Amino acid sequence: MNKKDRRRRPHLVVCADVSPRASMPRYFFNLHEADGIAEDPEGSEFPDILAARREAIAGARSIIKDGAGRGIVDLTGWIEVVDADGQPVLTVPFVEAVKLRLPG
Amino acid sequence: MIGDVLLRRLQLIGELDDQDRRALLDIRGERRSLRPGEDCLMEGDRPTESVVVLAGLLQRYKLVPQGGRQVHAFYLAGETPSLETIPMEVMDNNLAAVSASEIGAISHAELNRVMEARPRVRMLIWRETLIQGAMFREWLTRNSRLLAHEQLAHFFCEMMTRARAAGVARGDSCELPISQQDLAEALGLAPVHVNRTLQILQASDLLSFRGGVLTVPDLDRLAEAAQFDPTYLHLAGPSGVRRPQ
Repeated sequence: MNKKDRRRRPHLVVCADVSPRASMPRYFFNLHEADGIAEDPEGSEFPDILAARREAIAGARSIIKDGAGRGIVDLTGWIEVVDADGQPVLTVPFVEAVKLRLPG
Repeated sequence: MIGDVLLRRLQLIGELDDQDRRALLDIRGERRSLRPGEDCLMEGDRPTESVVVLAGLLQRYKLVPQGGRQVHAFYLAGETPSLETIPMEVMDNNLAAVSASEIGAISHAELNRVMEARPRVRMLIWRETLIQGAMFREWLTRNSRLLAHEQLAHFFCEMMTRARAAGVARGDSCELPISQQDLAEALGLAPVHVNRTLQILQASDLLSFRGGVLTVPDLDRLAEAAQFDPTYLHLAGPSGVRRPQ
């Protein structure tokens, strides 16, 4: 969505749909962990598969960070990205979402 | 209708007398519809009106330079998102509809007339804008200090408490037509993380959030899980004493 274009509109005026993601493909991000699968019920729209991969990496990092906050770094999980037809299009294992530096 | 919504909101946070009430009920304003996602006020705008939400759900947000958004607030029917635009000249954030919404726009000139005639109304409008500040502080603390499941629990506690106060809750449920993407943008978490955390909360029967409807069977229990204290909402009864939850 182009911010400059949007700003030309006067405020409080009914106008056309301004949804920024109107015509992009939808991807679903299913999370696989040792204790189960969290299926993505609604999905999100991205311009291409690379953008979906970036989103999956960000998701993995967000979950790894949450675990680290509780004192556990668990890299056994993965995110499977599925397209609107239910076909898996890519997988991001947690171990590939971060670089590990261990002592020794 | 529009003045009535403002009156009801102000009476949730303080006392008004009969003349105050009449002055507020005389406010006419203008009713408008917003489509899902439609901006109502945008960064750089110089509003000459303030908005009350008649139906639907609004959100306040800022675009992040790297792409994406940070959502700073949601506004339920019965709430008053932009009273700060009376003294503020320029919008530094955006106000948009989440779902199809109805708003009432009241000119600043009319609000200023009422506030000049009714000092108590002026004080409560001032208080309302300060409560918004208190809510932004709570959101900052929640997003930066709580674990993901506490953040979500806290968010849903707040929305349920506000829905009850605004009179838009039905029993232990309220409509909250936000996506997990919206939730992620409010909490500063990735959507996949929100989904996982939501499923954990739902598995422990603390809440259910499906199809845009939030159900909290035991608000006290959820509040405990969330470390939620509603003081920052400053919801006062007629005596000025906080209502028990």
